[in-house]
Amino acid sequence: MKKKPSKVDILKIISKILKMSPQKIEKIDDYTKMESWDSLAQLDIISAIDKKLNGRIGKIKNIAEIKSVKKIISLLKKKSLIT
Amino acid sequence: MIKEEKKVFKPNATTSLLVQSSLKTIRKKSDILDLGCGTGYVGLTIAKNTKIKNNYFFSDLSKKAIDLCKTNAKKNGIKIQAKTGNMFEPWADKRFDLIIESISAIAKKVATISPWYRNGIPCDCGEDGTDLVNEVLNVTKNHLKKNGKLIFPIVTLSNKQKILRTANKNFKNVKLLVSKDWPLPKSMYSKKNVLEKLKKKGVVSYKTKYGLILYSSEIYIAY
Repeated sequence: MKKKPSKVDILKIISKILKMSPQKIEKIDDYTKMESWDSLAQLDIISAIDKKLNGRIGKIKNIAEIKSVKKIISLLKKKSLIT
Repeated sequence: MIKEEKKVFKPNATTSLLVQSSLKTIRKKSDILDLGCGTGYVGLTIAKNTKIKNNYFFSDLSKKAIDLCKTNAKKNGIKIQAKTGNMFEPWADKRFDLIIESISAIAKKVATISPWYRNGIPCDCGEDGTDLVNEVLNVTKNHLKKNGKLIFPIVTLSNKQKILRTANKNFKNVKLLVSKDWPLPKSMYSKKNVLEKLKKKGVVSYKTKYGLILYSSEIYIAY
């Protein structure tokens, strides 16, 4: 069985798209304030996470409304999508 | 490297797709026309990124755009011929190996609520966004050399099916090269009802995913 992605995997995805270190990314409360953020980056982030989760991101309602990386991680954990 | 101006259409994500698709298509020295060139971004970026010594031609209805295109070519050390005029008017007797059509095409009502056509940037492509593109598709063959090709974009915020019907009527082969989804600018969400009405009428097409409205840019080749 395929291993569940971890928090680190998700942070890596976001940090690659926003071109920032995973350590800094984790502390962001609102990534829309980032210089490297735009609506395309947002779509890229959600699509990449969805791919990693094998299309199960739909379990989180209004994912596009969530701007805090911490909150995304915590919701993914809550839904048992990541370890 | 490419200078922009308020009243000249700015290169956008679809423009980049157009460049990538064109670069993959050019295999030998060609006469290339960037039709509706704006800043000249498409043709000039191609020239900068290929080793093939093509001849580059640019035209646009706006004199301001042509002046800017010439400035950008000079700045980038690229030799070009650029003329002001409507459609193929400046190229009456000329035929090309490759024509890249970068004429804007989105439905009028979408243009008015979008952030892309502000500060006097024109978008006179009709109620369903097909007027200019279809006009180009109907006459392009007269300006192509034997085995010449046309590359053109369709943004699904226009009547895609109508454009494809015209393309298929005029060319034996019309093939999709690449398609990419883009999120609708957030500033347009408050006018969602306008888009919904147009979608119902079949004027535009888009999908909703992850709570975002996604439209597509599709790049086609016709020959």
